[in-house]
Amino acid sequence: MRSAAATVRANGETARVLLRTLLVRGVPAVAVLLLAIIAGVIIGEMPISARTVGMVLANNLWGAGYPVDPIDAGIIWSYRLPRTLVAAACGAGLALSGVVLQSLVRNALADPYLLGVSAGASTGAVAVTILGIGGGMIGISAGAFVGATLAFVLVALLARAAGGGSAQLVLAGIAGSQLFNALTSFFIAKSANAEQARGIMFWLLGNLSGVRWPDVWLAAPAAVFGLLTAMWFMRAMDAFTFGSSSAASLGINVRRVQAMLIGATTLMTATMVSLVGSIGFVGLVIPHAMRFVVGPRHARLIPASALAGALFLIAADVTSRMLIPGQVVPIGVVTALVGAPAFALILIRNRKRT
Amino acid sequence: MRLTTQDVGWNRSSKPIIEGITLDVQPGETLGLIGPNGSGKSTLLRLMAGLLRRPRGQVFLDGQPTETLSRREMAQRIAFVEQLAETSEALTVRDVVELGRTPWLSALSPFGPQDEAIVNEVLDAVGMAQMIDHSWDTLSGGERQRVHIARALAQRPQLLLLDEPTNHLDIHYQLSLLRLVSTLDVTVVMALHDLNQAMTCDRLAVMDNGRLIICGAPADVLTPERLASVFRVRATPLHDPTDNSTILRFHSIEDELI
Ligand SMILES: Nc1ncnc2c1ncn2[C@@H]1O[C@H](COP(=O)(O)OP(=O)(O)O)[C@@H](O)[C@H]1O
Ligand SMILES: [Mg+2]
Repeated sequence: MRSAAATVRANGETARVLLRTLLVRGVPAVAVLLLAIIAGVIIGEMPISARTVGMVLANNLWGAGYPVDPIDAGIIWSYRLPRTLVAAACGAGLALSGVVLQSLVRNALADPYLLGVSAGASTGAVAVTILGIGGGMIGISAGAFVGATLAFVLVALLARAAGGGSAQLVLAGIAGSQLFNALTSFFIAKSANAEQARGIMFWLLGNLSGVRWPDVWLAAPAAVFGLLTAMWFMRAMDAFTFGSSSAASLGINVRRVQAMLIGATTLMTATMVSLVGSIGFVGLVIPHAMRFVVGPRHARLIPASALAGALFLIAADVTSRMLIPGQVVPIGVVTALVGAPAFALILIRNRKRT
Repeated sequence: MRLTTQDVGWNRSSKPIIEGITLDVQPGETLGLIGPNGSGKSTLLRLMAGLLRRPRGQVFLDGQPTETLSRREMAQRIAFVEQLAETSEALTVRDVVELGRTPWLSALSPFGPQDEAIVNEVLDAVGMAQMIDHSWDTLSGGERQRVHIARALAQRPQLLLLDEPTNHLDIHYQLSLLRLVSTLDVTVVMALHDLNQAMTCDRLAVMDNGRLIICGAPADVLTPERLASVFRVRATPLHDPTDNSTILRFHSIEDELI
């Protein structure tokens, strides 16, 4: 038990420690993220100098009034910058979703893509787009959220009915993904015209081509919200290490924490999927890699995964633009090319442990 | 802290697993819970810890019904070491013991120097201080058990619930754990399967088939008739002159029928 004076003293102490941690870790992290974003804007099929990028940013951010080619300015400000920002937000959001799900279900293979949450979000988004339920950007996101929630509930119930083990969850996720992907295809086949269908299929694989500023204002708050929620519950997520009953005996209100965290995760995943389609493996591979770097404690794992996820998806986006000259490869293809082998490695490593 | 259960019970899909258990454990007392496998010891401990949904009857801590306490308030009073709590995360011993401070921490009072001092102290108490940076997956079963006990002690509980805490421990740590538990200033309820270890408790509660058979001093509880009817063994009391205690030697009843 703590005396009031000791608590105040300890709080003063910990406030200093927190501030120092924020300065020592937070400032470099933000700096790295900004550098990556600028790099993401500079690199592209049409080479633009760092100087031009700097001038365009200065013009738009504080009206510096440098003379720049309007075409360059347009590419940088209206096309590459929002695209890179959305890539960063999506990467962070998907990686955070992975961290949260892995902690809650105590399964290293949990991730929104494998558990069918992304597939559910796609179905919801497509249903809104094609069947015309709702409409506008928010409508699509809401549809994606409903789909994602349905998918998660369905997969969780199925996994529990199958016995509740690790393998059951992954199998239930596969079944859920297949079901929702089939529903998506059914909606497309039933109601979309040929041009719509092509557009949707391309978007489903993960695609940042159509991203503009309004998308940034949806993706960035979603990622920040997810980061703050996860950080708020970091101790609770640590407490889940030995299972939910152990978490309960450590004073965690298991139901409430699960509901809040799963809600935040589905919200993030749904927002990202409605903007850029379903991008696989980020939520799986990034948290795993970060466990090697910063360990399993969530106070470090959460921010590290958010940052690494953002960097990874910026790099994946640049790669997707540069891989085949004159053509954009869907970003989901790039992440899968990296992620699938990494997934295989994780599977093999997991077998050795148990 | 005084623990009282009043006519508690619990059903698993309408099948009663434990039923009609009324117990009164005094502050500072060590109560041993004994009974054959599947008699409901773990279930009763889980019920006392407030981990079972829709229990029957009532549990009181110092006269206060536990259903009026939040999970966090419960965890500030009760620590529970379950059988078989495992993880595949590469946590260190320190990480696991720090989990015990969870019920005392919040965004406004994060982990601080006092918490650190408590963690070091309880690691010392279970003899794991020198392994503080070892990774969970490199620990033996007995070491894991000791870390779990340290984690429970780090909660600074007033009531400690232990489910077969001496499992996996070598004989040295079995005895040192029992001594540690008896010196603690907290109320302890622990399930045990070694009846000779159970003899060291202040009182024993015998469970059979989900019911409480009797609760009393070890010598009164472990009578030859009860050992035969509940545990299906015949016991020979032997005298140990070194500390003037009685130990039990067991024979299977089936053997004698041959
Ligand atoms: N969650 C559960 N599901 C099904 N049966 C259970 C469950 N928990 C306990 N039981 C049953 O209740 C009985 C008592 O179990 P338990 O409390 O673990 O006994 P003990 O700890 O004394 O060995 C056993 O027959 C066990 O099979
Ligand atoms: Mg048991």
